[in-house]
Amino acid sequence: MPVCPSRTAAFRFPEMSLFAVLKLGVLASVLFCLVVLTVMLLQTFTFGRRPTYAHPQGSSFAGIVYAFGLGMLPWEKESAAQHIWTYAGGILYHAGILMAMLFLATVLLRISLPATLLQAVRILLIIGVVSGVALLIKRILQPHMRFLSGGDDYLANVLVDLLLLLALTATFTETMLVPFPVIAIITFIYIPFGKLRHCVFYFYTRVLFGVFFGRRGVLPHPSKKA
Amino acid sequence: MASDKDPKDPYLERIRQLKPGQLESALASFKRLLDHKTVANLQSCVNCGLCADSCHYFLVTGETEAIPAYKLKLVTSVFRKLLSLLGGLARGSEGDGALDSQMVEKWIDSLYGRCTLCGRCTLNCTMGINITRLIRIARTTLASIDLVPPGLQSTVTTAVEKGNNMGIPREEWLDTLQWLSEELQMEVGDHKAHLPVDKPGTKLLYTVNPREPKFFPLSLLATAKIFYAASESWTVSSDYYDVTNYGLYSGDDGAAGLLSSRLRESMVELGAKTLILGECGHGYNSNRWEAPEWLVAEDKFQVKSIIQIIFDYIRQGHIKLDPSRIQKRVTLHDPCNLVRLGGIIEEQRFILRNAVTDFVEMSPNREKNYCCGGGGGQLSMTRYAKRRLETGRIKADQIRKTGAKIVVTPCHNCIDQLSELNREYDLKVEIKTVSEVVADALVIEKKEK
Repeated sequence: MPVCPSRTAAFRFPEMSLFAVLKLGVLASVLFCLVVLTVMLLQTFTFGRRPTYAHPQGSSFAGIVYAFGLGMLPWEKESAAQHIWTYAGGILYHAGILMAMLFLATVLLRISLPATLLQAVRILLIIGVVSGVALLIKRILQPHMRFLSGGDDYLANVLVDLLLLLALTATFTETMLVPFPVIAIITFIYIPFGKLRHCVFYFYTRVLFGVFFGRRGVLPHPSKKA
Repeated sequence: MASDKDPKDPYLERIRQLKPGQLESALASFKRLLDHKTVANLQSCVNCGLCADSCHYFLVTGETEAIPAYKLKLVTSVFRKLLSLLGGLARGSEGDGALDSQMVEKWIDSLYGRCTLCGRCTLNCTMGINITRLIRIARTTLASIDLVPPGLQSTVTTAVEKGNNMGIPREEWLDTLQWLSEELQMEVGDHKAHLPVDKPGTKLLYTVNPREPKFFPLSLLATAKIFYAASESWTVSSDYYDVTNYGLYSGDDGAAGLLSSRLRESMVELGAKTLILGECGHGYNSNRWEAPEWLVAEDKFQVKSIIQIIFDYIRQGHIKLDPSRIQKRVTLHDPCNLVRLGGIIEEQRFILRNAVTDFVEMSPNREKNYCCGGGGGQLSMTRYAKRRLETGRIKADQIRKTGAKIVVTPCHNCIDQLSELNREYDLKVEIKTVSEVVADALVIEKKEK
């Protein structure tokens, strides 16, 4: 049975100085990422906030709840229902990313994971890598996806796939505890400059989506309100 | 007819000869149109491509220029080049983001020529990006430098200059109303029945699509018959009665605001309590949802669709219907601007279930329904007529699958497009408004003298 490296007696973190540098590097890159994303979010408000004058027919709040609830389900959205594997791949990819981030935190904070939990982490990371690579292959193979894609689309995908892959390998061997934080640093620095910024803007646009369709009484669908 | 491929097309010539000053002016307009919502939307696309199949243009033609994400990229790239820290580093299929004549040509071809502003991509966007809104902002940018496609622009100009988009003279409108009053009297057997004009202090001020008095007066008569049966207090204005607003489609906010403000002026002058919008999808979206934003003011009165009024009449027992009069199978086309972007979703279904014996839904329906292809100003832009009819194939297939003999839709724009599809795809169906169907099923009771 595999055991978490940080739990074995033989396990030692790499040279403390290098580990400390990496730890600092991750913290600095996270801070950088958060600061730039915050600036970008605030920048949107420098364009002004226009009040809405039309009287609402439905509820903005109900629309927001729908946008983050029912509206996420595949049968609610044709684009998801007709591309169920892409939808599933996307969900699992993001689950893997979340797991990689949590695992990174445990590594940096030297929190040891029980073996069963570590197994679960590995499974999610494997599924995440497979999903990420599958989405990349789809992007490469489908002509209309190739047409749509720019450098950022490929780079972001490869970067995150690498992050997941290195996180996975780091669950097996302590030698990978150096490259894993390094790729994490690169990823955090890159996030605000490409499409990965959607980690923040997604929530912003979904709220706006909910408000738009909610106040117009389109969503949640009137027949589902009763 | 000048085609979008015709090298001698004066419109294309104008685009190619754009001066730097005009492009700078367009960029300045574009920047002015942005607010926190649009900027957030412009920052959010992940190019997942899942929006592709939501667009009827892409589904039928398979042309990559029709993919909503591509249309969005055309706008996003200009935004990034202009405003973001990274500028145009991420060059892609859309170009480097400079708003030059080539980009303007792409904007026009994809954002006017391959989009009906139906909102289906917005509904299906995994991120929730309001693609429709961003495309309209691009249209507004183009309108600011007089680059609205000629057919669409002339419709807006006619409405602004003549008071209605068909240029119907006031006398002709009044003559039509007089003639329709006589028809109504004969139909209901009441010599007092009439279509009231400029009657002050009524409950409702009714607005119509000018194609009704111009080409389909019996459609207006049908609504008058329903009002008569419900003993409604209503009137029409002799001056401003046009519910349409092609400024929504051209992107010209100034013209759009002016057209909507005229209906509001009529409301104030006549002292009516509720503005009733006739069966017109974009007219509803424009006057119910967008006008207060264009005019930067809340409405001091209610703005409703005639569909909501008929729904209330039936529900409250103000009118009686005999569905056995309409035995043919009936299906319903949901106008995008009334349903997906307007929120009038169940009322028309309730009405039809009460007015006909065999009502069947299209699939998909309601807010998920496909655009017929007539929105977005496409009916006015003859240069894109071939595309419009081609992409209408999806709607034609939807109709055929229902086996319906009557297609009902609460939108005169949709009726125009559906009528063309009826001929193009040999559907052999009748196409009617909701009012026409209700009027056919209406049981008129003798009024007390």
